[in-house]
Amino acid sequence: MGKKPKSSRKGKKAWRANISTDDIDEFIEKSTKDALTGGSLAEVPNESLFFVDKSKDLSVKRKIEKHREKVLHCDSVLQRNPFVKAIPSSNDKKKSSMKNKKNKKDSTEASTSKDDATKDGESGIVDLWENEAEGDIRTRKVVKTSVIPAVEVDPPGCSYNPNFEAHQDSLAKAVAEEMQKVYQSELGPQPVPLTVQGDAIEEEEMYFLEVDNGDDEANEENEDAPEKSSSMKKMVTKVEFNRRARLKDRQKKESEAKKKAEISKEIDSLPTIIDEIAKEDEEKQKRMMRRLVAKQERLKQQPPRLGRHKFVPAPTQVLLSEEITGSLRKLKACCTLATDRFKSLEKRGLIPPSANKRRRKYNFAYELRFLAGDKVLDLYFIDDGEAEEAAGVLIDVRVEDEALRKLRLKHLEEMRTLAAHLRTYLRGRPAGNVQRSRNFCSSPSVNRADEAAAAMEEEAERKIGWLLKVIFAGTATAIGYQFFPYMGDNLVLQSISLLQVKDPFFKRSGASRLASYAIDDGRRMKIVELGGAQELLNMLEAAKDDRTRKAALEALAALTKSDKAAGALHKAGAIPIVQSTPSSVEEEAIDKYKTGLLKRFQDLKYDGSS
Amino acid sequence: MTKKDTAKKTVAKLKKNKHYRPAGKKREGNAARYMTRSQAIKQLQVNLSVFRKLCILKGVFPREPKKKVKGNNQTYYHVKDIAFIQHDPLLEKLREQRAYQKKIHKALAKKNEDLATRLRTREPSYTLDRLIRERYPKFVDALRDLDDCLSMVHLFAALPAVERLKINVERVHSCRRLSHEWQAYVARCHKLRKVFVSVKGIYYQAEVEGQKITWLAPHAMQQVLPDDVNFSVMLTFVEFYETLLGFVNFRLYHSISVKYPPILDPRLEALAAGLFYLYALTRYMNGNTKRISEEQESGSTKPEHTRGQLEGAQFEESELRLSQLQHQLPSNEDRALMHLIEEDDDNDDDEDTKKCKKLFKNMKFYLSREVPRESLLFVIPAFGGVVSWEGDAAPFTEADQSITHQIVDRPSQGHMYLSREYIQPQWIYDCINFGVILEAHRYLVGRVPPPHLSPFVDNEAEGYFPDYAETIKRFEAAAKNEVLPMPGVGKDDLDDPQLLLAEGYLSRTEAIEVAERKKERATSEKQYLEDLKQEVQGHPDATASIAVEGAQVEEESSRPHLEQVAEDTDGTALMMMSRRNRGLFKAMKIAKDKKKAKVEKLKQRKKQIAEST
Repeated sequence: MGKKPKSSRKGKKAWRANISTDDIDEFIEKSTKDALTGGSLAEVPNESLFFVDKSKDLSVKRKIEKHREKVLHCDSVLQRNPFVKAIPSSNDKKKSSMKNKKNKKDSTEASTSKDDATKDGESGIVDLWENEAEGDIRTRKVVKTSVIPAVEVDPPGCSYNPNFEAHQDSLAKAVAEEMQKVYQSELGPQPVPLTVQGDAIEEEEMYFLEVDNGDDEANEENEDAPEKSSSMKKMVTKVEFNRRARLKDRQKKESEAKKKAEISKEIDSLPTIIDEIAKEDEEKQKRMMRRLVAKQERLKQQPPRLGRHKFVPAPTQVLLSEEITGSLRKLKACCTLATDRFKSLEKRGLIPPSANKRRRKYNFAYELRFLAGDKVLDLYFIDDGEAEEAAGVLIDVRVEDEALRKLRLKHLEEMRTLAAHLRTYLRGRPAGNVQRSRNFCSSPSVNRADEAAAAMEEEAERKIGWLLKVIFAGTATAIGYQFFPYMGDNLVLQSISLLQVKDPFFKRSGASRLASYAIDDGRRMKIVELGGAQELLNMLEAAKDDRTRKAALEALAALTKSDKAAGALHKAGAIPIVQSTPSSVEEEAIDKYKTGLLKRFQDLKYDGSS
Repeated sequence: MTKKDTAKKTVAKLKKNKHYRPAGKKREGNAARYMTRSQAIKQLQVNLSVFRKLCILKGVFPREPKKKVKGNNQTYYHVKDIAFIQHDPLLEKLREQRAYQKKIHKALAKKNEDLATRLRTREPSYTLDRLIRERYPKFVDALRDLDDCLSMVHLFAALPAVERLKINVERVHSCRRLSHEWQAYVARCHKLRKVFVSVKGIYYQAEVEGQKITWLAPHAMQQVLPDDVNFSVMLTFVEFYETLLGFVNFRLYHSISVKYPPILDPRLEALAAGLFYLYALTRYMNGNTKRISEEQESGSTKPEHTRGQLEGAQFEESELRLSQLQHQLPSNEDRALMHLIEEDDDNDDDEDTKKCKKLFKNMKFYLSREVPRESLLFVIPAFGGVVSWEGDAAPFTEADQSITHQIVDRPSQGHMYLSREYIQPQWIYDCINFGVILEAHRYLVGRVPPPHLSPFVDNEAEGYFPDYAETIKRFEAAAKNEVLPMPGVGKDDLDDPQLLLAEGYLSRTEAIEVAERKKERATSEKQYLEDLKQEVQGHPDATASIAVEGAQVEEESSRPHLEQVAEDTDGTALMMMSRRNRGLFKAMKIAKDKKKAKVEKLKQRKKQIAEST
């Protein structure tokens, strides 16, 4: 085919021929095609175009089924026997079905609760006990663990403005608790000392000692062993053997006869034996009853032992005599109610009692600071170790529990006097020594020896007092009022400082302590030297009621039995004070003491005018 | 050396295996019934803190087995208790929470703050409704156990929020709100019965649905957080108790047809954050009950309609009274008068409630700023009084002429209105406890008030009356125009028919005792008559002595016989009892003796004091 001759492009014909009609053609073609096939695909909805193939995927299904059908060999063995039923190795299916159910339930529950919430307003609270009569909900009776009520009301003496008698009662109880603590710490085992007196043992020697001990024992054992074995090996002759056999026979016969006689005797005394058994049974019964009763009583006071630690009751919250003002505004109330609630939980056995966390090392300086508040004594220079040591020597009454702080604030006076003593004691020593003694070095210094001697004295006094303490510890705690005096300088100091306290109760107890302490001349003089006589006279002068006067006079009478002490009393101006003491109708003892005292002064040729 | 060591080890082994169980023998007894805490934790697969929480929430507490198989230093739980915990969905929930916390920790560790915050917004939480329903199947059960709950909530309402101990501000606030809601209910329904101000705090006792509920609220002062208290345990308890108190409040509020989460008016709400929430609540409650009852009236059917009309009439009357009073008062004081309206509804109260409602009726109190306001704002309305205070949002001012009592606690009062009494706060508490309006002169400003006696001591049972209680009793009797016998004689008129009737209820021994006393009295009376006769006739003394002797002989002959009978009845009763009951009986006897001894001691002490002064 030859090439088409190139025509002119300028003509109309040429212009028409060059227009492309492809798109039109395409469209027409398409539309005709659509018309033939029945509508375009783009307009057709997806559903009519696609479908989910619900015909089973045979290969996969087969695979799964095959896996399921696989039976373990052990199961197949069991299946063969129709009488034995296999126990399924796991209950997976059951669990999953349960879960589904639970989920459903949860969802329904949630929806219902939501409905309720929307019905009732914005809060999710509904009336829980709306249908309590139906009893549809599974409930479990909760066992009551203890007989102690949840909120124990304080005794009437703990009122903010209590009745006098009730208050005295509660106060006595609080003091008894306190004294019990003191006695317990006194009578308890001595703590292991931090230092041991004497020279340090050198390491080599120590090693030597240990070795020595071990050797000795071993040697002894070795020596004993061969002797025994040699004696055992001795031969026995026939004669000897026979003799022994006969002896044995005879003994056997004798014992049998004895036994028979005994049995016959017992048979004769059968009634008494029966009586005895009955008595024993009765005794047992009684003991059991006693135990039962005691247990019941105990359970009213404290929980059973639920854990490692013992329950420690919270201290009684009671006001002191001078703290009772009758005004709610001035009330020094308890600020540790959280402790009270916590103790109540423990007491009812809801939680096991926990350890007493306040086991901080006893720190004298801290206590002083704590007690004195703003008016801190100038004792800051004492470092902790030193303070502890000093406190161990001088202080008897410990301040441990925060809750009874108020009660013990009374010891503040006491603490002050003690602090004064401590200061003089410390100033007597060079400062460098303080440091050294704290380090507990092995080389003893002169001062150290002095201290040791003092400690030994203290120890001796303690030991003398020990017996008395044992006897009286039990009774003293129960009685509460009766502070039985025990021996030692610090106790004299204590009782003297008790005299300085404002409360007449403490004053009386201090005086009675002194009276029972003053049993020989030396002690009486000690009391006088420590300023007890003057304090007693002050107390007598300032006393407002007869009981206090009586206590003071009693103590004075005990003191005047020594001539020297009487002289000291005379110097302190005892006679006019004693003379001016009003005699009372109720307390005959006052008159008795008074006349006794004056007579004593007369005997010693002191006259009232001087 | 090695030999010794091995020997020691074997000994230790033997010791450890004290409760040896042969192979094949079942575990039984205490060993099977109890498990230690660590065993329980292992079984539940949770840590100790979660275990503690679960125990507290489920109400499972340690037990003391008779035989402590694992040693004395362990805490034991019953196996069934632990199984009970194990079945609870809460356990799963707590585990879930723990897992979720791990996720957050992980996100934080990877410095992915976004994820952490996003996770925190959707933390899983749990509700305690089901547990409360489980532990308290009936509403009464919940009320019975409310003592501890209330004390704890009141305590936490007064605690400072401390982050270190995880005491949140929200918790403190919600505790405060709940406690005030409770107090508002008690005050509104006049359910309060006793108040005792002790050093520890203030004890209240209310009687709700026949249950006596006692709780302890702290004094209004800064509470310290002692370090020997495990606050995580306390917080768990509080969490449970908060929910419980919420439900209880809901129920109680609905019982008097008040919407429960109370919606307060916004002006008061702003003040309500502090002290006056309680006041706002009472106002809200009063207003609300009124409205609801009105609605009920309008929608009621015919027979009820008459009643409604009746109430309506009453209501109108009170409205009238209100308007009258409003004339006398400045206009802004109508709020306080809501109390006047409120008195007309609910007539179905018991005796006590009625009595309590009327105690401070028609009295208007004004609190100075130094008195314990929170307590008095609760107590005075509970006994029907109207109260205002010195400070913001007070319903009426100090200058109000209608105030009858002003409560002050200071040594002296400067300016005094003659129309009112100036008394110390203790007066309120004592009036409540004795149930009468006491004479105010003992409680005036600057005086030391008489002792505040505990209302929780039953003087009759105790057998000892403090002096002040005696005087008040006398005062009370005088108010009722009743003449009491002289102190010490006692009011045992034996021939009183009512008393004789009551005797029927007494136990046999007591009846015998009474009979004996009667006889004694009869003989002494006879003797007395005879003496009189002789005196009149002027006979010598000889016959009198004979008569006396005769009477005595008669008495002696009758007495041992009666005692014998009493003893016999006691003995037979004892024989009939089981051993355990017998033990309990003995314990009771011992306790009684102790009480008697105590009373004796108190009396003696009193005598001593009287002698010494």
